[in-house]
Amino acid sequence: MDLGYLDSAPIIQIKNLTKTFFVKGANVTAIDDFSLDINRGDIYGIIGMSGAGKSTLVRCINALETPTSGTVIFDGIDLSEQSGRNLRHLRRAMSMIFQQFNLLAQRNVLSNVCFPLEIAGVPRKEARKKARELLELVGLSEKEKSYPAQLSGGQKQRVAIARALATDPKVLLCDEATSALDPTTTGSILALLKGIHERLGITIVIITHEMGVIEKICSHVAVMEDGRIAEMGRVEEIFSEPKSSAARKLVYPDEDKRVNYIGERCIRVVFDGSSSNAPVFSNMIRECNAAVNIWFADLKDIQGKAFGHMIVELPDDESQAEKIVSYLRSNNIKVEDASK
Amino acid sequence: MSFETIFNLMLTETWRSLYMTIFATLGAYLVGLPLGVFLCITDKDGIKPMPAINSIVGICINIMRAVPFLILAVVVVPVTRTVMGTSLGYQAMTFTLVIAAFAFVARVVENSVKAVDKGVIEAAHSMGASIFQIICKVLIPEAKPSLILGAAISATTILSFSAMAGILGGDGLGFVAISYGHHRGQRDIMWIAVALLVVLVIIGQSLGNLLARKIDKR
Repeated sequence: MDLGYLDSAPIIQIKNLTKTFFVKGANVTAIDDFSLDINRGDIYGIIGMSGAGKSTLVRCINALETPTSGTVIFDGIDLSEQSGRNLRHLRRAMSMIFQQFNLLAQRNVLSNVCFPLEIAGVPRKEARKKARELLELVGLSEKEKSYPAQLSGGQKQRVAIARALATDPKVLLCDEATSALDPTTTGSILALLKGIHERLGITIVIITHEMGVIEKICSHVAVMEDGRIAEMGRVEEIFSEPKSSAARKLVYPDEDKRVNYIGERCIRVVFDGSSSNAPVFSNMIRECNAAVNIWFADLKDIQGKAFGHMIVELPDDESQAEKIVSYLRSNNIKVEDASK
Repeated sequence: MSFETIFNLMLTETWRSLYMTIFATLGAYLVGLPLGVFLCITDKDGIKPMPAINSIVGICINIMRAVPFLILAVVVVPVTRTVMGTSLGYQAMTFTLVIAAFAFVARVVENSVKAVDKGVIEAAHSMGASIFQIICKVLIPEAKPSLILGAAISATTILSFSAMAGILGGDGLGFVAISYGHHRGQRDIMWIAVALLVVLVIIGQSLGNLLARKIDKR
């Protein structure tokens, strides 16, 4: 077998996946003809509002749900052709962490991390050794005898991450893993995941409804709406130029509220990470000798580059306005009309 | 009756009540624990849904539980006689009590196991656990504190069944209360027997509560 080919092939291929549930006498389509490739080593974000079908999708990826039609191919193996014992074996290669952590309340931390190894039939001594290494990796070595009830949310998720890594999985599925945590803890868990990704080269799939999570660690993102992909691509692309309404809603969450304030001669100035660090705006004002009115700005720093947009009202003078637009464009900044 | 006679009578019969309760509880759990787990996992939301079998077993258990204990005890007399050689005495009555109590125990167990967090079960599934592994490593260990509380309730219920069995020729404190107190009009003996039953129930329940609290890590 040509293993070189396998290495370059996507680790997860989702092809025309559809999942319908029969709820109270009606068919509900949770996932609708969904196709997506996730490459080895990606940190792939799947984002959508609640009810978009994200959780069902992740459960189809590890075959906890059986798709109504379509296939999921994991590491070259079609999951729909597997059953029972084989499927259980395959699941060990794609671990999962959850919003509610799902630790065993009656087991201590060490024993929780040993749990998947017990299931896999690893000898106790070996399992404990591995569990201790993983607890060190997630920074919880001193808590090995504590019980989940004695830990904070962030600590519980660290234990869950250690547990998920115990069987040396190829993929880590994160189902709203930071949604029950405060922003600071979310940041530290994401930093931990990023560190693990760099160290182990594991593929990570992140299901979330928070754009902040995607922008912090993902390389790629698929925006999901009503069980379909609204848009997908590299994170920078989606952030600089969201095309679908679902993606716009996530990237510019306050856009709707703003509409009323926007005046007649407005432009949207988009920063897509390609502009230099120069103070473009103050330079522009000096250069064009014109005053502009800034209505709105939402800029963020994503991995060291500026992303976001500003809504600016142009001066009444046509020639001045044109000058401003061409100045911005010459500085690699996208400008679109945003008038009422 | 001299104090010594009363004391010896109470000692013997308390022991017999305890014997019936302990062994009947063990016997009832031998059948009721697997049955309760079976009811839980074969439920439509369980880890191995088998709705048809589940409802049939459920109905049988409800029938067993609906029949009053005394009626059930009379009905199983021939079975007890075949299995135990006699239908009289505390050892034979232990068997009758197992028959009378296992359905109750199955429901108590089902209740405890059903309360195990669904998320933890899902996590075990995601790790590739088999149904048997989920039962042994997740459902029962996670339900343990609740199962112990349930066992205390079951044991005290079986103790009160065993007291009723006094009417049918069982031994124990219930038999003493009925034969001495009711039939012979020795009210003091009756009240002593009842007081001892109360004490046994209090001790049993408290032990259960204590143990459950001690092992619960939540």
